[in-house]
Amino acid sequence: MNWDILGQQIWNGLLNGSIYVIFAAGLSLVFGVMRVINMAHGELTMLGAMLLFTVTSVMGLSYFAGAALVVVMMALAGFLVNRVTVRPFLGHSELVVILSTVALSFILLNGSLVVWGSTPKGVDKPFNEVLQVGGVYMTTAQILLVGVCFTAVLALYLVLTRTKLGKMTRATGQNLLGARLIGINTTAVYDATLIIASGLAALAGVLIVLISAASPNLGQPLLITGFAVVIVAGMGNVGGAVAVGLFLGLTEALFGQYVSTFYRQGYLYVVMIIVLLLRPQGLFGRR
Amino acid sequence: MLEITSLDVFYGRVQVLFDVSITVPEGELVTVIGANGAGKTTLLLTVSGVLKPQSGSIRFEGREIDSLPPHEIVGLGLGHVPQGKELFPAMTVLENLEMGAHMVRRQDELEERLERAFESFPRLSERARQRAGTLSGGEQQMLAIARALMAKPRLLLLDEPSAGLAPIIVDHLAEIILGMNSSGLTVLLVEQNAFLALELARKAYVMESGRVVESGDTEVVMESDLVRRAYLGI
Ligand SMILES: Nc1ncnc2c1ncn2[C@@H]1O[C@H](COP(=O)(O)OP(=O)(O)OP(=O)(O)O)[C@@H](O)[C@H]1O
Ligand SMILES: [Mg+2]
Repeated sequence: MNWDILGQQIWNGLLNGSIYVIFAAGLSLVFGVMRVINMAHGELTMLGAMLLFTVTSVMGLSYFAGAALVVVMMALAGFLVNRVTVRPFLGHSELVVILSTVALSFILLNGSLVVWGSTPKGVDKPFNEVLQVGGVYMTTAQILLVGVCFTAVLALYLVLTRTKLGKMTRATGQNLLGARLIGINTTAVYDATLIIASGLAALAGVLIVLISAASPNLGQPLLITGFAVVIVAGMGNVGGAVAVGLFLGLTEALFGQYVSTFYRQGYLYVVMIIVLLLRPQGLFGRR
Repeated sequence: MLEITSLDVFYGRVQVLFDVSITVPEGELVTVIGANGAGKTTLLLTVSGVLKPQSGSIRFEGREIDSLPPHEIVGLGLGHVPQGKELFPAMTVLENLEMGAHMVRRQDELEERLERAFESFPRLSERARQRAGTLSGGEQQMLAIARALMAKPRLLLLDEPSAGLAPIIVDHLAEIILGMNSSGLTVLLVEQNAFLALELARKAYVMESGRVVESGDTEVVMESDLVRRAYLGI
């Protein structure tokens, strides 16, 4: 057993897992509160990455200023996502909302291909020194990524469990009619939910560029991975999505190292299918 | 305090309420009785703004409320304990109560209201840290009422609070409802349990297939052939 290789794969898994966590948390939040499957979540992340490229490389902002600007802009855009693609269709079948968010995702994807082309774009990292911890190589940019992801997830947890807005959001997710009848403005709660989720999606986007290039095509595979995480955890269970995202990121890296590089891609889906066969409601889901 | 005039309500193309008019004077306890499917729940949900009437008007303290969203209607002082209780099952009893008072900004005011709720419903204070979904049916009904009271409503709509409860708990509930009413809360009580409703209320309405078919002082309504036959079985 080469411990350095094991350590390196754990670190690599932690990097991917961090992205899965922050991506799946937003996806799961929207489903948990609104019972809406947001098929455009991946493209919101993609847009975060591409906009960051534009505001840094083209407009000359620093990484941090650009990232903050993009996350805030995308969070505000979440309001429009709700008002244009979700809210008008809520009275209809769930399929209609799925289709309207699919439509949004195609518009965003194809629009981005027109604007940015399909060649991946590199974004300047704020710092990128290589450190060696034990036998494991890591860059300062990677450490930033992991740190921001965990801070964001902790912040989300605190908002949902400690603040009044967070509790109202959970209440609305648990019983919409009950929430309306005690006077919670559920329209505002839905706006806030998509604002938070879009902000989280964009945050994933500005962090991804710390470990890979920005490309209009990065949203689709991420969405599929995000679904695997959310389904394994149990639809709408945000805490579960965090645990599962981390677990799948880590075990996926170890699987690629020790079992098969070739089948690494399929690993997530095999786990998803096994979990669904044994526990259709997901690991943390309630029936 | 509440004036419902000529209300017509539809689910899609199906009309469920026909020309319903009901008045609840301030300080009174008014009941609406009717069999399954008579339209009682539909009536209350329309008053709360969850359903929109096709025509007719609803006035609360003189103010037209039928075009307002539910949260604004609650804000005006109208509470609603729905038929299905509609609690937040994964939240604790305490959190459910806090949610009932979400519009309260001052912490000391919130504490005071919580204290009052636990005083009126001691059972809930024993269960404060328990998830609402794990309460018994009777406890859930108490919590649903306590949660609505946290907003300090002036008018409370109660939708079949006695449904599914053991007789002894129904008695307890009856005392609670009477207590709330005598301390100044106006109540509109919907019931299938006509004995209970007619015992508590001074004014009663009888609904059948979406229409009000009988109304007046409870003694008078109780004596009517229709009610004796259909609801009291005598
Ligand atoms: N969401 C809905 N869509 C269509 N029809 C409905 C809906 N809810 C209720 N109805 C119909 O409206 C009518 C009145 O229902 P409502 O629930 O108001 O009756 P109710 O008097 O409260 O009955 P119960 O005593 O059983 O609670 C019934 O015929 C019912 O089938
Ligand atoms: Mg009913």
